[in-house]
Amino acid sequence: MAVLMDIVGALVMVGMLILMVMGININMSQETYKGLTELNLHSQSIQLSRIFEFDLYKMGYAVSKPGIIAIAETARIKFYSNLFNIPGRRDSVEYNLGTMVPSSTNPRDRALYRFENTTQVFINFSVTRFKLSYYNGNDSLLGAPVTGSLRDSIKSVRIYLTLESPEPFDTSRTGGPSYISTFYQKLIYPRNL
Amino acid sequence: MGRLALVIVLGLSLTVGIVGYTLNRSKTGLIENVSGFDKYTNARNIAHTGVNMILRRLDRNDTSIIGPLTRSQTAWLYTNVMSGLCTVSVKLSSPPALDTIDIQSKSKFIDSAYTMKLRLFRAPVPFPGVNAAVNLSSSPISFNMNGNPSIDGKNWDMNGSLNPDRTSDTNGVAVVSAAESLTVAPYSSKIAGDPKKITTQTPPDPGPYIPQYIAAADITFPDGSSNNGIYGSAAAPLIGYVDGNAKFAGNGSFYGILVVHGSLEFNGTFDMYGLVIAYGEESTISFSTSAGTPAIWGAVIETGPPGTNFTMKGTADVRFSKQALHMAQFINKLQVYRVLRWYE
Repeated sequence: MAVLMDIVGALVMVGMLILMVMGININMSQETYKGLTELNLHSQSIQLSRIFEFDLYKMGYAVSKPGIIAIAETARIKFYSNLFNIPGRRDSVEYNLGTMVPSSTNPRDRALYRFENTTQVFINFSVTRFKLSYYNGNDSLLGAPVTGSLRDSIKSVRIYLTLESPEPFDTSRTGGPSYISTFYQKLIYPRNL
Repeated sequence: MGRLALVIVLGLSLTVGIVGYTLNRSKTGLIENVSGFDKYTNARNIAHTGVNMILRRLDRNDTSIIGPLTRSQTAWLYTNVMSGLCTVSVKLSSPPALDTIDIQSKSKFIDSAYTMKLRLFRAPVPFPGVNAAVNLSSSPISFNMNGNPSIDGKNWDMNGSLNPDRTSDTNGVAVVSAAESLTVAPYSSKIAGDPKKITTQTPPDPGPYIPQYIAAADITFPDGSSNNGIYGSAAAPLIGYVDGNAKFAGNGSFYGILVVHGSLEFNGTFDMYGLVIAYGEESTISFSTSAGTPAIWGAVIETGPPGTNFTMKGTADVRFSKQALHMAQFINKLQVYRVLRWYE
């Protein structure tokens, strides 16, 4: 009888242990997924910021004025520069927010693409907010879209960028699934404007 | 049973270990990302700081920078800043011109590097134009030239030789009206100028420039002081200011812009290179040279209330010098920098 009680007790303990381990494993797996997604989004955000800064700090470099900025809209900008400091070269760079990404669960994410001269590259598919604000020499906000000769008065550009994960990490949350997000914002003063 | 338990424990340990490692790896990756971006940002900030530092050195007449620059050489600045290293070079653009400089700033922060290449155009802030070697804008004036002094509107170089280019000569004395012209006329034998010895062009009003010169003054001479030192050099001219009366004497020299809110006297063998502005609003002021052979190379502007006095005695000379005025115009503190190109 005592042996039987020991076996039953051991089985109960093993069962509890397995349940605990499973619980830990599920939580850790969730955290791992969240962590990896965060890392992924973070890396993308930093890559994008580096690309923006590479381009925007060169805006107007070694190209004739006026007409450096060709398009200045809320989510679209096109400008001219000499990106690689090659004598006589004039590059055009354009950023634009594309359409919704159909393959993801996230209903808000869009593709962001970059044109360099004639080459179009989709540089991200997880952008939920890409907003550009334009300021003149007095740091006064110019209403977007900035058109006509007013574009020549742009002296700085503020970028707002939000990325969200394509898949939710918590589908059981009240109010809708949670997506991991990361945010980048910077006011850039291109020195050549 | 014992073996099964061992296998289960080992399996669980392995699973938990893998999950834990993956979790830690993503956290480590996040930190690496953030620190990588931080290093890049710091490197950029350091390079930018290097640009600001070199401009500040120029602004403060740092001869270790200005010296090589004026000799059309490259000046270098190496500095440790914000825990990083910054190397900045500055030179006149090619072909060398005082108004265009090239700066290259390279920074290193841990394992991140950043480079900025700039071409800046620098131009003096507005500078009073002069119509003559001596410009008197008061009416009436008291004017005397006794002994053997001279005023020469021909263009002299700062080394004391007459510039061969006669097209840059100017008038000897500029006054506001014919009445003042008559006051000066008896001394016309001591005045030279081209096109005129004495002209009635309204002299420039230095008023708008004076507050800026006072704010940027390198030396403030005390009221009533007698100064016989060497102030500035052709490569590093200064701005001097006197609120009151001052005397410049002895074997000294001054290079740059001298602003006097009051009366001014030169004697001895003092040499003044650049622009002299004597001004006042209430009491009469005077510009005088007494004994000795003081010389002023550049131009004099005197503006004050009616009765303002201009006296030259001894063997003093006021010689118009375009070169000296150009030097004063390019005092580093009075430069406005404009970006021509900025590559980073």
